[in-house]
Amino acid sequence: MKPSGLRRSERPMVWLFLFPMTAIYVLMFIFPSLRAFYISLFDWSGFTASMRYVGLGNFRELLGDDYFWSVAFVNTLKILFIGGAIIFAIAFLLSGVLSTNLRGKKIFRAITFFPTVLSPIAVAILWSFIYNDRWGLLNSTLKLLGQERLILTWMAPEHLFGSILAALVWMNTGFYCIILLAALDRIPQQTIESAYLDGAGEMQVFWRIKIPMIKDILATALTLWAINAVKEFGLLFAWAGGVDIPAAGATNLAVKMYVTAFGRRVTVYRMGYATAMGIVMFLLVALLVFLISRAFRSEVFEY
Amino acid sequence: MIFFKKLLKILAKAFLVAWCLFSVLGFIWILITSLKTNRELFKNAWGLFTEPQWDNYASIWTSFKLSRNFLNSIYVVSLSVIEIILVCTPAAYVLSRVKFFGSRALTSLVVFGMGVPFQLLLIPLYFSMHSIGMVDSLFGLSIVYCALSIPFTVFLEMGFFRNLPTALAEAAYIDGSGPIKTFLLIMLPLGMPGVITAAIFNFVSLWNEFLLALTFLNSDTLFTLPVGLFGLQTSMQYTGKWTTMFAGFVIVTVPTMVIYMLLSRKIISGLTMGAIKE
Repeated sequence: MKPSGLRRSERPMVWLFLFPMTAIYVLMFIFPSLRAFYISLFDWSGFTASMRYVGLGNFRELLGDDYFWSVAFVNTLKILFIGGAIIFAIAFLLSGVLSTNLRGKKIFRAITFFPTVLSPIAVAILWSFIYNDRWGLLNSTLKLLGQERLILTWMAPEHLFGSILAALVWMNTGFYCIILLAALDRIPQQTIESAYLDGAGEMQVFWRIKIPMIKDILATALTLWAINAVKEFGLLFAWAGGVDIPAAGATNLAVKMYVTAFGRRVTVYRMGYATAMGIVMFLLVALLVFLISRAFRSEVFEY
Repeated sequence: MIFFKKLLKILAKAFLVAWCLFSVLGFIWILITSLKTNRELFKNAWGLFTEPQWDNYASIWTSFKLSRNFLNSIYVVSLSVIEIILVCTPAAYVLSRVKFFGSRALTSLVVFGMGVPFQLLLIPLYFSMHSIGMVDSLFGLSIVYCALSIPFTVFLEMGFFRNLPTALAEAAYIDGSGPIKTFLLIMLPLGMPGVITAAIFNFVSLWNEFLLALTFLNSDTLFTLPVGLFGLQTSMQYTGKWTTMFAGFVIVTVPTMVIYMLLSRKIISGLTMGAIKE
């Protein structure tokens, strides 16, 4: 479609329309993003004017920070890949069922999507009710079913991350499920039916027809997941209960970064160092987005 | 083979039912528990209450400032959404329909912002806002929200404006209508579904926003609902008044749930549209 152009005399209007957005965006988004790279070169407590230039010192320290890599970074990667694999597997399964002629489809769709509109803090509280070892939903249901040997202290350090990951999966699956569902609903029914008539099995139809035909939306969904998974903060931070040194199982890059900068009771206030962590997060997202767009660019499928 | 296929389908359907049942039963369990006493909860987590403890609700409502948090959230989120729509809509309109020097570059710059985790700019932005006295203010927070919502909102609205027919705008030009008039009277009403979608998307995501609210607000009189809920959760863990906390959870989630039930269709399409619409 050809956009309708403006006449020469109306050109100033373009700037009038664009100015508020561009001004706010440049001043409050682009400028701080660029300034982050500058701040990361300093040792700075934030609330004083004195910034000590340390060059790449923050990054050097970060590289040697074993806890940052072996706990925070690894947990973020686990959320990204293990959590992501589970989320997309369940989302595909649910959207596959939801795309058939199912009775009560709309209600199922609405319930599946519901966790998306809940605040992550509410989700953290909800799951702490589920996991409580004395009266939680999980353990008391296990007791009811006579499966006492499965009862665990779900929020004990050794199980904490897995328990949080389950909550994360529950919270995020609905969103990706509904996106995939919308994509699946766009595939012409004939294409699938004729494939079945040609003798294709369920698996073949899924991998050879459905996946290629929803490729563009799948790429978008994966990109959104990559960004959201790295940013994930509220659920883990609320789980940690606002303490200054959150449990290892509740620490990812975002939590570590926040605590390093703004940890409340123990004053850390290492702004340069925390910003360096923010840059690591940015680079991780950039790398993932690049890889996803690379992987999906080849062979564009035409409807 | 056919038997196997049938079985697979039944299992998948059963999984969907179980997945949804889990959410529904979980909420019923919370509703029941919120009316129990602590002792009843400890004795039998699945049991009913002997007498509904409405006190749980009364005490959480008075001892925590949930109503205050609620009003703060309504204020800051509504204000932000208005700012976002006012700032982004004209820009998205121009970017999607007019070619001018730098339009490509500006569009890429805006879209680029969608891939930036806020953690990158959190500290620089915090201290910029600090230096102009805009920290610990709901208005300041609303501007932060507005700025950080620009990339996705512009991207989303551009998708809508791009697909509008040009004929009407052309006709308006021929009739001598200026660009502002054309935009306000013709193109904006046509693009309204996009604007509403963007408003719903931003409303829901800002309503639940936690990191920025936690960082930019210090006084508890200004806390938004997620921050207030977070405070409630931390303090409840020490007092051990569990069933009261269930009541707090209900108070906070029921309005969301009611609005969601009324508008689920609009909300679902509002939240997923950006991904689907190319």
